[in-house]
Amino acid sequence: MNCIRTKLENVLRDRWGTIGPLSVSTGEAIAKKLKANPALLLHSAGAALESTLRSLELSFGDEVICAAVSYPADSMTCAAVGCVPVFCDVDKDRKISVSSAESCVTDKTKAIISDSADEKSVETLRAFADKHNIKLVLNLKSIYEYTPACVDCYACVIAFPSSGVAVANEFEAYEGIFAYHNCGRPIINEATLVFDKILGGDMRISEWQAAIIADIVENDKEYCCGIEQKFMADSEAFSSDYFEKQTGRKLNYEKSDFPGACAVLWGDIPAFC
Amino acid sequence: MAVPNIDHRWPEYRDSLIDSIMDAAENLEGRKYRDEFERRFAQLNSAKHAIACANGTVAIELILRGLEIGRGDEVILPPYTFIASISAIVFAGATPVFADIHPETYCITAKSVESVITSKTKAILAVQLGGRPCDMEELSKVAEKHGIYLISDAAQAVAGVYRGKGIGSYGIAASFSFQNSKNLTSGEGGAITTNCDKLNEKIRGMLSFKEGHIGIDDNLSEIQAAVLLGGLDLIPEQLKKRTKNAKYLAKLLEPIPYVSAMPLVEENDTHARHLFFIRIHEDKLGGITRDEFTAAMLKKGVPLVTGYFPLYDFPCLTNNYVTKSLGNTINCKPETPVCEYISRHEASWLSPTAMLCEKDAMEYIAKAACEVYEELSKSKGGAE
Repeated sequence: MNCIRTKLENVLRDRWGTIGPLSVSTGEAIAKKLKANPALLLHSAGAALESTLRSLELSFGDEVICAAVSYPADSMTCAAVGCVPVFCDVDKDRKISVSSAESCVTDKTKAIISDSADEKSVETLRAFADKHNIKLVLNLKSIYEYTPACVDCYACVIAFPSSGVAVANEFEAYEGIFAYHNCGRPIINEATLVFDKILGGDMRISEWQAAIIADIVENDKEYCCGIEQKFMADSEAFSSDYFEKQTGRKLNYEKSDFPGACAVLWGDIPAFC
Repeated sequence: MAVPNIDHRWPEYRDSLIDSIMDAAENLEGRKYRDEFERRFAQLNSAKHAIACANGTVAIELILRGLEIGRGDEVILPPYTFIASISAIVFAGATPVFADIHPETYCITAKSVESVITSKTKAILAVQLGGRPCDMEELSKVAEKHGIYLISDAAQAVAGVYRGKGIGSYGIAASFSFQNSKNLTSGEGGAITTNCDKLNEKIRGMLSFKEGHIGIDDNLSEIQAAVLLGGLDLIPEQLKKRTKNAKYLAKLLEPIPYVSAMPLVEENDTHARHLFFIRIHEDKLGGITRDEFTAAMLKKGVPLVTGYFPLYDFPCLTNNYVTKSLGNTINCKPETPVCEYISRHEASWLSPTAMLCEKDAMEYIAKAACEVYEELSKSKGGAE
């Protein structure tokens, strides 16, 4: 832990709180490591996903396709920004079933979130996204899941311990994600009290958290964020009055709507369905 | 007079903090430091519960979500505050409505709040500006009368006290910020205090993605909690110094007709002293503007800035995304003449760390105010 100790001692000494040299250099290091475009560190993977969805200006009236078996943040973040998560089934490898996703598309669909960086899956979903003029967003639980195919998505969110990273594959996406994470400020103007185009949120990372990510990235350390996929489609949260107030709809899925997901999780459609 | 140091190095950290920080770094999935911080922070605020979270902005958003305030609802706030106060309301889906502020304290007033209440109003967001407690008693009466919630935006008011009790114990809940410039900081960070068990449970449910809740990934890290615990130990001494300096500077400014400090708080209130406002009275400056005055002070090495623009000035409040999200347009032409005047002609504040400097810094600031007036008057060709 010596290396991380040195980093944390430096933060203590240098007094940088946020968007400091460590978060900036670590973003650059991640981009270099992944051979990808700029990477932005945020206070959590959920915040990275929220910034990404807001950069696409998704809100009330919009729909985002999520897998019935997925990380809870996928669909919950959609709900948090006011979108309806529309669930599709998965295949035996837990990847989104494109035929199921096809049946979910409406004129309100704006994006699809996948938890898989598998090259074939990304390629297929990218084609699907292009066909329907929607954006593909990836949500990964580890930097080691990232594959070269990930550059084909709008943005890739990567979870780190107590923090998250958004890797944007177009500079415009990066600018949007940055603004939404930093009160609407553009990239080059950190301290302004004048706010122009974007009403942004507050999703910045502290240098303390950046030190942890920097240590992982520099030393290729294994890590585990404790994030697991769950069956999300029948979550009580999506049939609540509050959800309906925020999104205009209540969801009414049952497990039996997703035979692929049931097979993956329970071997078959459970008797209780 | 030589320019003394008016830029205290911030944050203040004890070197020994590294041990608990390292312990936290080795146990990031644990809650040892967060639990301890929440316990101590609740105690500081005389509140039943404290919930640590990622920052002050999401703290407000979590409170609103916990109260199920969102689309179609209105939340009243002052237009003279940082943009985060309003972005939190918008991100929760509610429509912000502006109410005017007090001409001497710059805090939202009960009278102006009452003038903008409608059938859609669900809450008042009272900003404890600069660390000064709002008139929570009067605001509570209005909230109770109309069956709406009173929420305290205490981002700048850590360790603030109102009528003998921690500022975080008033209203349904209070939000706090631990961003790097704040009096208690972990680089980024935030907390919510509340006496409401149900709200406490709901917010914790959201943060932990508990079944039945819309999960929000806005937790505070263990490392930040360890840093904050170290900071809590330093607050009493720091607040003592801030208060001493603020009172001294206010006294030094008294004889100067064109500037003044804000009135003192009540005896059983404690100003958290995040910002020291210097009110600049343009009518006594013989044609010199507030902006010219503050720019000249800055050139003399005094870290004085003109402060916030009114929120309704910003085009982002009425952009397509905001309007679509809310299903409503924010009224950016409110009746807020006090805010309009003070934000453009009167308000200025010293950098948050100025009150941690030494006595000679306060003396220099007062002296600089006199020198600036003389110099600018000469250059404008006619002092009074």
